[in-house]
Amino acid sequence: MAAQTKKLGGLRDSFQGAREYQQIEGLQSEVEELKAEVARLKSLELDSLQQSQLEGQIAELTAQLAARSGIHRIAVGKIDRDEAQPRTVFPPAIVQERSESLRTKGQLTPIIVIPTGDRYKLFEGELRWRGAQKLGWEELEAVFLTVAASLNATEIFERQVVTSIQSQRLHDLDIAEAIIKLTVDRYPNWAGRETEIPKALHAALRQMEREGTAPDFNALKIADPQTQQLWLDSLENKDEEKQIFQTILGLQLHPASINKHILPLLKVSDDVKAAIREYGIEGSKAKQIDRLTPEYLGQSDEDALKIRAEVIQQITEDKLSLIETKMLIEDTIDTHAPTPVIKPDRVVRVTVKVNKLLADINTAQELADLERALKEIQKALKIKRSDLQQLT
Amino acid sequence: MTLQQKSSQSKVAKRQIRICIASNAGGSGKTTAAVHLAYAIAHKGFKVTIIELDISSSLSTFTGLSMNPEPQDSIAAVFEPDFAGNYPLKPVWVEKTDKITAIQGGEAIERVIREIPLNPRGHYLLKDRLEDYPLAADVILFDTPATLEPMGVVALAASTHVLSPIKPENKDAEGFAGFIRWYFRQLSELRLRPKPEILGFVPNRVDWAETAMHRNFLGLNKQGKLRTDIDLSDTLPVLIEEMGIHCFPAIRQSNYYLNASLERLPLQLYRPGCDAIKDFDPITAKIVELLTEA
Repeated sequence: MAAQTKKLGGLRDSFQGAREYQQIEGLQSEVEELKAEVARLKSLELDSLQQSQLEGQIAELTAQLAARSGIHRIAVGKIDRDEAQPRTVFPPAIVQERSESLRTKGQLTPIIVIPTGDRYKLFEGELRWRGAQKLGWEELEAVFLTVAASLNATEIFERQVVTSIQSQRLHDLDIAEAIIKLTVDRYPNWAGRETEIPKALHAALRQMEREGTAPDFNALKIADPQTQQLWLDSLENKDEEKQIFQTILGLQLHPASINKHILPLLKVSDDVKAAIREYGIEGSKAKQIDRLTPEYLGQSDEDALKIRAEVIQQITEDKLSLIETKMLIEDTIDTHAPTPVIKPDRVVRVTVKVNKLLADINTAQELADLERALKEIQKALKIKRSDLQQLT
Repeated sequence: MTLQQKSSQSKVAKRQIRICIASNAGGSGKTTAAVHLAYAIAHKGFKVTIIELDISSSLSTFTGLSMNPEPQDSIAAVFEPDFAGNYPLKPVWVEKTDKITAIQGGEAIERVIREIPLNPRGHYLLKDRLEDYPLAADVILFDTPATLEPMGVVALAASTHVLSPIKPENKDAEGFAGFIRWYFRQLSELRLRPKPEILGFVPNRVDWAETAMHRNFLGLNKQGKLRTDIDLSDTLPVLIEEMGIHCFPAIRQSNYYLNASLERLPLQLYRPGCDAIKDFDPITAKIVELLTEA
């Protein structure tokens, strides 16, 4: 018996390695399945029931980790915020709310940490951690994500982005920055050319629109990786664009919507970005505030900065809606901006020309030709409009 | 067991099952398992195709098919860019059954092995083919070589299930742990969906009467029964079951297999009623269950 144990003891060690691979794969599929289900839920208009399902699934992931290696009480002081964490917007009001909930209800779910040496890197639960610090708590319940040790920094970051998008806690600006960071991390050919990424995506989408080759992104973003890969493979000779699409689709996000609503936030001025981080101002409002440029207001840089600061304060203090924000911005421009210069009316000239053409038309064929030309112009207008939206 | 299988009734399968028979050790009995399972499943009334992905052409040993067919008559043809569904199927044991066909490997696949890394769909090629041009078979058995890269990966990507025969000896058992690591790594890296499931592990070529190492690794006594006088926790079947992987009962070593191969026949035809062949029954039953369950 003793001899047998000795002979076979090494076998158990060999299988330990196999078991670790099984766990890594299992966790990856669980995260993937979770991701798919969450994406499905997000494609629907979420009612409160579905919202709670979504939260339930994140809780399930935590439970799965707890089942694997138990729930531990760890010192709050030993937890390090992950500097590479994609979420950077933590408005004080939300931290306050969370700390209040911790105080009255206690910690409902463990946070997820990655053990590193004798400290812990935070993977999920920064709000609870901040709330606990505010309350002066010494310990928090945590589950260990040991599998992450075998992942590289890019993979950890990507998983954080995914869990954060799932729980809808990432600000649009965080998502925009995460997409750039992931693209550059994965494809070093983009290093030093970060600002070209939104432009390349925009150009690629425009071309697809022109050629009518844009796929159904709503279906594609939630498709399995193989289906996504099939579509990516169809983008011949466009390796760099493929990389951007791969990053965005890999996060189950909609490339056209990222292009239109998310990436433009990277261009807002630094003081507006700071306001986003401090007060959690929504992206749509931030873009409105960013319209108040020195040129547009006819003011010096310094004065424009001051005007924007006042506007930001009013928006956050009075909790203005998007429409109210727009009105405030219009008012501000009216008050400060010089009278706009009236340009010679090119529209009138074009209309006159078209009317002349119409008068000359005699056959149905000619009329059809003109109609086709007008359709082309309409298409071009649509593209121009999206260009302008990209710029502003 | 009837010899006249041609007259046996055809059954209707609810789905096609594609089984990757693989292990990362030579001589573990992969080809032996493939041909005997093929016959057993066909005997139950289902159509079976064996696809050989090995250079060694060992399938011809059991089937009498000529060794090393020309590329166009081998699985290499299926990897050609202009392949249009004309699988080079060869019926085997035609006098006894009309339900078994084979596509041979052999030296013709050397070029395929070299070119797979250059192909954009590489490891997914066989899967693509079987999806684009479905084979009229209820069960496809992939007989793979002991080196898993690249043909083992190609077979895994095309499979719905995995069956791993293994000799219960130290080198092979360590190898099996490596095989499991390989399997889970492939699942992650190839992102196979749906995942090919491990049907189970089969202790193969087991000689419990004569080989102490076999008994120790499997926790069996000289009669081939589970021992009750020792702690079984570090035996191969327990370690494997702990991972949630099924472990089939052992298949014994028998010279009849060798003798049957000299006649180019499966044991069922060479020596009807032979006891040893019953060792395959649990695996056959499991596959039939997969074919017929709703």
